[in-house]
Amino acid sequence: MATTTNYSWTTPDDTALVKDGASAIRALGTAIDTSMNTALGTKKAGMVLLNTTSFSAVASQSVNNVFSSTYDNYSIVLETTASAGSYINFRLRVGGVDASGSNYSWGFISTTDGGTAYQLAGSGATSSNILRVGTARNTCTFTICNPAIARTTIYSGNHSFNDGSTVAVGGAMGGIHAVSTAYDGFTLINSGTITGTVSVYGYNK
Amino acid sequence: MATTNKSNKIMVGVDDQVVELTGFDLEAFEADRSQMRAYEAILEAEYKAKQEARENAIKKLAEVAGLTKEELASIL
Repeated sequence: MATTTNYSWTTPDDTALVKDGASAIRALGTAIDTSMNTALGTKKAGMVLLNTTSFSAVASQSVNNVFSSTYDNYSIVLETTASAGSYINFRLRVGGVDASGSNYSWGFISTTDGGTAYQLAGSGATSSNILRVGTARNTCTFTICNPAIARTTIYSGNHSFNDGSTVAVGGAMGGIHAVSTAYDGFTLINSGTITGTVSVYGYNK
Repeated sequence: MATTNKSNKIMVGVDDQVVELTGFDLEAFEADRSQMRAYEAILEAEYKAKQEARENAIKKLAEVAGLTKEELASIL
């Protein structure tokens, strides 16, 4: 009898009789159920990829409809280059409109490759600086908590950047958006243009 | 993939689409970015001023303590 490549689940041969189809499907379903239970038990996969968007030479990049009641917390992974040394500014968004009120407070601190601290912070800002960027590769990964719930949104993560003059090999960032509104997406804004990829993962509850 | 090859134009990505800003949207976006840049410039200037003040303080302290600036900085 034929079997699958990885888990050796039994599947009907090409010559098997149609009348045995129900039994074959039941046997296959049982085998899969057993394998999944062995691997995961009642646990679900921890993170689910919700969206990956690639962009090239844009002044801003918006991602809509990624935050919902399905998940409470999300991970955003950004890899980007910029047209010049600058910052990536982050805004929450709902219904295709950015939240651009003066409600963001943020800060980041990094260590350069020379061992010098580099830090910046803002309060009551219209966006949140999450990453300093340059023409070399830069990355930022952060967790955002409860963006789709009508309460203050908080986020924190880490980054590595190279803006051409400051090379930060590691750093941490964080911020809050002090508005009790549910959001479904976000926008990344740059003073020049950015090229890269941003992925959003949901943490299973 | 959101992409553009139109130089000297403001293109924004919305999910997988790229939109060229024109008219009021363009003016509003540019005004917004100008405000961001100005804010960033203020923050950077403040940070640099703090760094310079710290450097000067270390230098003065080092002179008083009879240490090099590097020796003093290593214990701060």
